[in-house]
Amino acid sequence: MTMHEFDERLSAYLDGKLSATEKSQVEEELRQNSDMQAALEQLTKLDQIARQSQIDMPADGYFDGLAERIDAKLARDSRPRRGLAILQPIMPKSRLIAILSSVAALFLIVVVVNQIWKPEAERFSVPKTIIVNPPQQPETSRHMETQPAIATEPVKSSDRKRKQEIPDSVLGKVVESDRTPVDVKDEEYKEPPVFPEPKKSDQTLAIPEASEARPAASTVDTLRQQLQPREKSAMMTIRTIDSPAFRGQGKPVADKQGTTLSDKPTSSPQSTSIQPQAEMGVSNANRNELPVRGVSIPLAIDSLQIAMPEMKLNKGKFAETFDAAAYEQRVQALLDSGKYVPVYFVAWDQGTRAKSTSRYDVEQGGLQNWYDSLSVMGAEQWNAENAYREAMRSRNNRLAEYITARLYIEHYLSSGDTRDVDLWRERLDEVRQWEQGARK
Amino acid sequence: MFLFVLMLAGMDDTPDGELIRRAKQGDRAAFGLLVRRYQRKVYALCFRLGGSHDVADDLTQEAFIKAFQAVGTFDESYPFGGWIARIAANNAFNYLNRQKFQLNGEESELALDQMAAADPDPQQMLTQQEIDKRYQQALAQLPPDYRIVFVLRMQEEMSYADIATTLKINEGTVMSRLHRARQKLMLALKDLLEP
Repeated sequence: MTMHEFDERLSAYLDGKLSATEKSQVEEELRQNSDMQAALEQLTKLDQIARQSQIDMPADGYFDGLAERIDAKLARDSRPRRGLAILQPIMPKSRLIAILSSVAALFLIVVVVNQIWKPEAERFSVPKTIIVNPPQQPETSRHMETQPAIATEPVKSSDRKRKQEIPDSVLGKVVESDRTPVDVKDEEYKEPPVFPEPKKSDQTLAIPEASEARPAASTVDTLRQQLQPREKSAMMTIRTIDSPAFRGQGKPVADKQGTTLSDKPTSSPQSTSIQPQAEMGVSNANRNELPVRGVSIPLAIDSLQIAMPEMKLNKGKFAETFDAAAYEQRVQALLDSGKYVPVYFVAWDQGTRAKSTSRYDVEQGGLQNWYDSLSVMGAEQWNAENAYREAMRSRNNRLAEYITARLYIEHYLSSGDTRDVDLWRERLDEVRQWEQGARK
Repeated sequence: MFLFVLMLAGMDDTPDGELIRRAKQGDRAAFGLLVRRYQRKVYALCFRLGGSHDVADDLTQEAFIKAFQAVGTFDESYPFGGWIARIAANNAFNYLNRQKFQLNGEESELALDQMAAADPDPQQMLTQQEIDKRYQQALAQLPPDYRIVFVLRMQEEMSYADIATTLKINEGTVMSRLHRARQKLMLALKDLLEP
């Protein structure tokens, strides 16, 4: 036994957590095993160092002002406030914005999941790519300050006519059906912002093999290649979409000279710098000319999707109807099949709402966080992490979520690409214990 | 007025229970005295868990603000020090989990290995300050799940049951994480531990 490969019982022995029988066993072993004795001595010394350790405390000046700073935040909190300021006393603004961006991204996913939800028969027949259309601007909203924040109408997953690029044929139908030329002069019109020259690769949103409703062998690796990741490890892509359907929302707007903006030469969609609308002189009219960005996220079909009906059944009085075995079989089958589905979200580079408020920035937050997480982790770990967290905060659907978490963690551990194996094994044990408890 | 009260805080001998009762009625000055009384303890805990002054500063303030918001639910028959430590630990746990979700522990593991590989001269006599520094460095490199359990056990002297309740994990997990934390720390600090 080396000094760091000691028995877990030794740690528990030191903490007085062994039963009388176990304790006498360990003591007997200690008498006979000098290595174990050495390990115990070192363990005791480590605890001693830990307990005696002192940290470098900040100067008194820091503590003199701490209570005052806390009180100032509490005072701000006690005043009526609006908007983000409500939460600012309890966290820094930057963190607040990051959290809200994440919530916005999650909201997008929930909306899309709801939209793509299929009946039982179609549940396993998922498309490789799900495209969320831009919101259709109501005729009466052209002069309104607000526009829908997110797209809500997906192209049906069963549509087998989609093409490899953003399919003009499909989107065109939507656009054309909604297109009503408006010959109204917009008093707020200003010159559209000047965008940098376009990159050819960003001229269109290319989604490889999107015409097939279902991939023949939809493995994660295949999808990685299909997604054309920005980095080798990236699982998610953010691209600019240069499509009249998206850009103009099917509603060309006339400028002061009576020229339809959509008829002008295409401005570059490549706008990586996100600036406040006021700085860019964006009006209701030229907002429609702004490029749209999209993000593709590979999601394992997890408790948020396939599992949803079963989980709902597992609430309250319906709990007895939950068929845990069938549910487990279903989730396991999905994992085995490797059906990671790239879900495509779109968002405008610039304001989707009133001026200077609620910009939905793909580059500076929100979906970017998902991108970062997935780039680092890869889909298996990301999904295991997600399922584990869902299980940790599980309230109403405990058994379903514990089963989901267990299966995802097992899947990740067997992926051959597991980081921090010890931690994940430990989590697996933890989830198994929760599951056993929930089954009782 | 509030500042004046704070200046007197060191001399104030009002029992915690009285201050808590007043804080429950919204008396921020009374709560300020509690902050003064426990700020070093909470800061030290947050520093050990967060690993830097900036993080400790944020976490300490958040812990007290959350405590004030929840003080109405506090049972005065329990010590305030233990309660605020639990709030701080729970808050730090959530913070560390968010960090871990974004980064994962790979870098930490690497740093721990490097520390072990550095293998300083065991004959070198280290001062207590140097030992503390080495320990803090090794602690900061532990995976967050292990670090928080180890700190709550060693520095806060919490029982397994209290740690389990605070972190919403079971006692078996507490035992397992403590064991792994010790394993990793013993490896990183082996030169200090060998006879």
